[in-house]
Amino acid sequence: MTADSPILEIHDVRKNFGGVHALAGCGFSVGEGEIVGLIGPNGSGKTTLFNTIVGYLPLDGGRILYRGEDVTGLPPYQIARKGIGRTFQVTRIFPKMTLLENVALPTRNAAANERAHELLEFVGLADLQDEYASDLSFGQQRLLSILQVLMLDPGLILLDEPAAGVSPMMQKKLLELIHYLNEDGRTFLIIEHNMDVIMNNCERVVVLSMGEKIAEGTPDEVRRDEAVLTAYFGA
Amino acid sequence: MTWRRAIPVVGALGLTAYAVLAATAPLFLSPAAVSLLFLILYYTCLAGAWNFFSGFSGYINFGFVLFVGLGMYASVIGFVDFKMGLIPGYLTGGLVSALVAAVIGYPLLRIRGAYFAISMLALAEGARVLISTKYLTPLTRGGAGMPVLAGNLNQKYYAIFALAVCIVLATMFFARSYFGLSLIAVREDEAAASGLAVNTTAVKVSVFVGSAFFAGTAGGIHATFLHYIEPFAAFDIKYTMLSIVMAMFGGLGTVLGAVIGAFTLQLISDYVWLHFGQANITIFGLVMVCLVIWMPDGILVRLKEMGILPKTRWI
Repeated sequence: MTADSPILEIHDVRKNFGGVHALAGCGFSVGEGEIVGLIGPNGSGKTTLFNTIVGYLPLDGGRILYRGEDVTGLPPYQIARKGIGRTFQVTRIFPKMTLLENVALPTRNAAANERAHELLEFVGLADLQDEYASDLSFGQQRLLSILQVLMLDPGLILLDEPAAGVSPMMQKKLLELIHYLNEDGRTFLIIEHNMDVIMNNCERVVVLSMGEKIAEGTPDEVRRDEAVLTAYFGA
Repeated sequence: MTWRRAIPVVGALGLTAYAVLAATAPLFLSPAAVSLLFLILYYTCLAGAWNFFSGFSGYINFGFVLFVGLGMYASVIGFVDFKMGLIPGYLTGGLVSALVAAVIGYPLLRIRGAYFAISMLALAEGARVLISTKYLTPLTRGGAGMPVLAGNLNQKYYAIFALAVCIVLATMFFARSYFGLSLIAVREDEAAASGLAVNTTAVKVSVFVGSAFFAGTAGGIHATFLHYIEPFAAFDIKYTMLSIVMAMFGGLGTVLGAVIGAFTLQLISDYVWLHFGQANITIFGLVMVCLVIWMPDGILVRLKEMGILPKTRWI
């Protein structure tokens, strides 16, 4: 299933750190409304790709288009305002801000607090909304970081290992949230090492290795792909 | 746990009494007592102005005296050479500092931590030297300094009182605003904040400018209180240090921290100076060490974390 109306197009992106080609001409696209998994061995460039999409790292080559518009080189806050939100591998909430402040931050209008309260209620954290985020458990912080991203009203959400290090129950809750939001029209690109999560929740998978795309397809196709097996397990 | 409930009540009563005293002091206190209150309020302004930017952003400004000293010189030049009235002269001090902050803020606020601190420290020292050079001497009178006569004690007192009130109210409004929240988010995690649509550069630079304006205005008022300025007095690093210690003592990133810090520490400092002379400085060093160990974010932050005060940005 290829995307007929891509929300995200990545064209031949390159990023070098010294002599290391973290991204060596990587390209693919994500269709509106998809849940796409991004997998690959450690060091294959997945997180670097996220960092370039949201503007944290300047590209050394290539272009990134969001809804047909070139967003290459824009500062992170502008990309966020256009509707791309991301979470981090190691959750980065604001510890000494209350839950409500954490969630309300991305929106500037007067209704921000009400909307933030609704979201916290939706995931069952409203009782704690006036406590500092540092008081939350790891899994709750993960949920909080997704709510922050939701306040951007994003069309595209990039999740960096959402299921890593959280309890099975919290994992289930997170995945339900992702599917709920997906039905609401939001597109997901998800980095994940947990293959069950990828296989059961993604319609399509992109595989990176050494900064290049080596395979793309349904979870089943990718699982049988020679290049993928080689990348993960060696020749 | 009645003492836990008592702390906010006693605190609120104490602050109210202090506010009433500060507002009416010249009516019944001696000039010496009014002068002591003037200094307390002056340091409230400095600590408040420092906290306005550094307490919220986490960008520790070690060259804060740059804005105080520039404000002193700008307003004194205003009074002496341009025959300005009291309020225009004071505001000139604030505006010149704000202008300089806008110019240096944009490049400087891209660097963080120790690098920012050292750059600001160097700029403040550089400004002191620059003021004394022959190039600026026609304007600044170099090392000879400038005497200034403007206003009487009560006028200066109410000027610094009004500025302190303005700074507290501005901080209260700011801390609850999108701007304030954004700057706190910058302190907590700058990159994450920018990923959540916060224009971090714009927020940092504009609040930096606001902090400099308050510092410059306070400097101008203090210059008329001193009657005489010269480069070493105007750019005295003690203004930076005391601002930091007082803001830290009261509570970083809080509204009333500067009020509490300046009141407590200036009284202690005055007492120690009277009875132990130069031991003053050593004792301040000890206070600083104790602070870092037991309350690195200050009294109010500690009380909020202990649940004794609500975690609201109003306080």
